[in-house]
Amino acid sequence: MTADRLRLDLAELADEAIQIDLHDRVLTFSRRLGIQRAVAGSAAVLALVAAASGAAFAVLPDRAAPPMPPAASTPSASVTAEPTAEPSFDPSLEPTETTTPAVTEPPTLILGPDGLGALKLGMSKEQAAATGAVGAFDGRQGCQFASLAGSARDEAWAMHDPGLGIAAIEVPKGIRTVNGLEVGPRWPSCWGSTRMCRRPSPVIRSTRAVVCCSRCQGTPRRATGSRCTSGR
Amino acid sequence: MGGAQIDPNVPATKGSAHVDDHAIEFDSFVRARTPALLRSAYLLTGDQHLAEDLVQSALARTHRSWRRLYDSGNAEAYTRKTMYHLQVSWWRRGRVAESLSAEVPETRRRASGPSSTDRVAVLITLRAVLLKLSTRQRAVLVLRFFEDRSEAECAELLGVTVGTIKSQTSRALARLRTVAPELAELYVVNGATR
Repeated sequence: MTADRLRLDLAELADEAIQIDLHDRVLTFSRRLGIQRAVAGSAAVLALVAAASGAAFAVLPDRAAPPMPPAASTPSASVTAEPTAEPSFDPSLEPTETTTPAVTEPPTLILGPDGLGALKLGMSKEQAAATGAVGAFDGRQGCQFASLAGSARDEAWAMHDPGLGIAAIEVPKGIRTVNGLEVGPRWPSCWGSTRMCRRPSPVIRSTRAVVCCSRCQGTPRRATGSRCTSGR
Repeated sequence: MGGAQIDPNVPATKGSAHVDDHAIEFDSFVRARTPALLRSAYLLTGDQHLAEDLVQSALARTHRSWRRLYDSGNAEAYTRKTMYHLQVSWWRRGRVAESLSAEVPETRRRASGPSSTDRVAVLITLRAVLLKLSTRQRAVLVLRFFEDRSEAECAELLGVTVGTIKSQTSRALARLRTVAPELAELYVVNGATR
């Protein structure tokens, strides 16, 4: 026998399907699809609006000044939205919102085009150390590395280039970017490619866009094979 | 029943006559094509209820675009294409009814004669084997050997290359031979059957 036998058997197997009238079910399901699509469209618009406003809130305090000191002086700008969700709290009570959360909660680290929180690209080692965001630098040759505060060395670090200052930062997972994305567990190592260097990224477009490379020039030793090229 | 339905794709300005026309056409399309679609869907899913859901989903999507499809005359092709793509995506979402394979007895009797019990055994085994293939392999087998489509047609329908269809066919048949050697004796086919 040949493939014809397979055809026959498949046809016979298909005959087991019980024939029913699906007309009404189809129309009901179609209506549901229409509603789902309308809801999804509305949700997408809302998410865009929320992301845009969230990015604006994240960027503004970040650019104004290093976040540590002003946390006490200008508390209401950055942190009022999230940490106030206490169960018994009446959301209409405005005044307490501005005082409590800013003191207790450390500023959320946001990965932006110019650095991670207070740690900015281009800083000297001293400036970087002053932010408290990095540990001690060590390393041979020109480029030196320091782990980010609270992270293991191989997970999150900053690289200092003698000519450029802080030239690269690899961030730990869970960090959010200015445009609302979250850095996942597979964040690629940040070794700038020359293509990246020529086109500094004003906005992080995806979790793989490596903003930290935007100031590097020349070619770090391991730049070949860099996975940073997906950034813009 | 059909007259009461409002086609979402017809603008209100078209008038009720068009609405009715489209509704009636869709009604007859569904009733005419459901049996054939259900048969394919049954082979794709291996289960009556899943097959009904699959056909229902594909037809509902067709309904959403019915006016355009009706005008272009591509409704049938669109529905089939949607059905196959949905099946693959259901697999990716882990909604496959692998639990069904538990209901299918693992019949490994040698099917040598034309007696009815042997035929039943063959069909049960065939269904069990189909469920052990990947969804894409199953889709390719159904398209090639049940719907009798050419490799080029399969490739177009599934949105892959002809080479992929060839390799998937070959792998599906190889798996069929591995899983159920007794069937392989019946289906003496190789990857380059057609």
